[in-house]
Amino acid sequence: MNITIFMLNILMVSLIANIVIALYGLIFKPNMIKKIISLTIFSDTASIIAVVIGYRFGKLPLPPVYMEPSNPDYIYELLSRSVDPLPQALVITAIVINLSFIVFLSVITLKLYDVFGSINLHLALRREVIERIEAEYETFEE
Amino acid sequence: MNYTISIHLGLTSIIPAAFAFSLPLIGRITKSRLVGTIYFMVATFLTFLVNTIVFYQVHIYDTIVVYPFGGWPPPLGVVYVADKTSTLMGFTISLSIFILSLYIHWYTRHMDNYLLMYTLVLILEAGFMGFLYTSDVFNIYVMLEVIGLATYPLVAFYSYRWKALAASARYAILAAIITVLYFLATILLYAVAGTLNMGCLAVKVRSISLCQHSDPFFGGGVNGPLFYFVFYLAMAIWTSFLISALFPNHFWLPDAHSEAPSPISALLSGLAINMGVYFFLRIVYTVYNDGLFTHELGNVMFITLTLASIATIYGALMMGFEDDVKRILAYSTIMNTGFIYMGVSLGTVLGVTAGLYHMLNHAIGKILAFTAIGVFVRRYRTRNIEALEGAGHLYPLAMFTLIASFLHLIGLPPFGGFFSKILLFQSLIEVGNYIVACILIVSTVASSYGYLRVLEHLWHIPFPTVILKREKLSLHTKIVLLVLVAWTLLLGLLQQTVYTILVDTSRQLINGYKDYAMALYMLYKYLTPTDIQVPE
Repeated sequence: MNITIFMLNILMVSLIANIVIALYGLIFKPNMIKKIISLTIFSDTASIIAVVIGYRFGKLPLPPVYMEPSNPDYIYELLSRSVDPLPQALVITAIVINLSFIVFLSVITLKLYDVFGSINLHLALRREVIERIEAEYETFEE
Repeated sequence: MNYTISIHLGLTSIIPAAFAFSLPLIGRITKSRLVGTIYFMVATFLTFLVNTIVFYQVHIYDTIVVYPFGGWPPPLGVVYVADKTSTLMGFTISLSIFILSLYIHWYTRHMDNYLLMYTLVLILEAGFMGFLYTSDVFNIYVMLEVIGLATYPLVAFYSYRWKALAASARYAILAAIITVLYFLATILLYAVAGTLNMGCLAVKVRSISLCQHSDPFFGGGVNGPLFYFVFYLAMAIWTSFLISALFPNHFWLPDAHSEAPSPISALLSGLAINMGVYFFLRIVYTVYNDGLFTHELGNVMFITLTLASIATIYGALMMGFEDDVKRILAYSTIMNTGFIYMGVSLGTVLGVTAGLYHMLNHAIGKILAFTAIGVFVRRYRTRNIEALEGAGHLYPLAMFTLIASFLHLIGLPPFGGFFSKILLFQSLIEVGNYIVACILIVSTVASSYGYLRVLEHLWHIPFPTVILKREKLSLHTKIVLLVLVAWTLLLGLLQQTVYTILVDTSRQLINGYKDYAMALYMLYKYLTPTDIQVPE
């Protein structure tokens, strides 16, 4: 087996494992900080997949920049060997968006700690039920 | 079919964004509430004006309006395309936000951080406009995040309440999962199709052989497994279901929409829900319909119809069990989303017409219901219907408008809601789907109990009569409520005109992918005058 393809397979398997771990953390971990960390893992994994898709296999890849204007044949060389610049542009956009997302979630986490006294999101969502049960228990005692 | 390049189309999302970023600065410098409010209203009015111009060009002159950002030709750059569906929704959304801006001014009269709400509403509007008019699949992702990042702070606007914070955090994390998955699907689609433009994608899905053409517009062809097309379809449909909260993805909605301030609930429940429906229509009908993936699309339509039927029953039943007024309206939104998707997933012209008609009716009716209930909630500082007993006597005008909106949402003849529901019933009978037609009637009847329960509690005077001082509604709140009532009435009274416009719209949507792709192709030809030789 070609060593490049072998390494690529390992990369893809590890990326898929990353996605599974990140989804587990996002859904099942109650701690907001752990959710934010899982979200960064998830979005960065997606970005790495995008970069891999833009890569040109085969010959030695070139950066997608026309560096020799004096040589008109260079453009053909560039077309056959340069990597795809579009996924890189998409990844930059996605990174900026995810950064703003993480800043927003951090602010929400701070506010939640101030108001609620805990950063356990699942408890905050289930608190109403707990209160109702406690209230019923108190009335029963009286 | 004519094609027009118009700068007004580009301005639809530029105006609210530019005003949004300069608004906090203007507000801080002048330190005047009046200047900030006028600046906000001017922004919403200009957006409405620009949208009206595009609506007029598209619907009266029967053209497709395009605008290339930065002069980039279509497969490379972001191009805005306005066809009948998107302009119809853009017109409705910009007009409702302009009307609501008056109400937002009234609602935030005692708040210190009113500039935050103005700014976020303008960013939300910019996101709506970009989402509606863009023809680029990746730009949809960006606009989705713009809408989201404006929505989550608005849901958590009362940041001293942990319930609002928790609702906002849950919505944000859920949407983050879906949007990252959508980003992944977009990238994989690009790897296969070599383009992110919806016009090019539509042509490539219809005929792969056409893509081998040497024309650079279709260049690259399709290389790789066609499975990624299906993966993108699944992720796009899931995204649209999450935005519009169709049944299994609904659980964030009652918390988020009830914890937000009332005008924001109106915006989210009435308008943000429609973005998902628009995305569903665009992906299913413009890009994928009648292409290689007919079998997969049939499955999608069947699943959507099933989920929509469950959603209507579920929403109608849950409306009867809730004690929170805004949660009752939120469950009504879940039910109405089911109605809209029922019509949209039939695949016939009549079905799509009914779905679009019900979407317009629900948007206006829900905005009216939330603005009217917001008057009571703001005064009484509670959302429990037991605590709101007798409140209807304090504000007769708000009570009257609330009754009008509920009759509109239930669907009684002078209002528009009746005509959309009967059209939906007709389209279901036309297809021969009698079970779903029965579900439509059953859930309408069941939901009327939930609506009438609210009215009964608001009008019933409790025995130890609590005398509250009657507060006068300000003039512009009265104007907002009456204009919205007039709009619901007009949707019913001008039924023939609305029906004609909607039939044209849905006909163009179902059959008109060629117009959509040709608009982009003509723009490409216009922007690249010389033929480019592609090396083999």
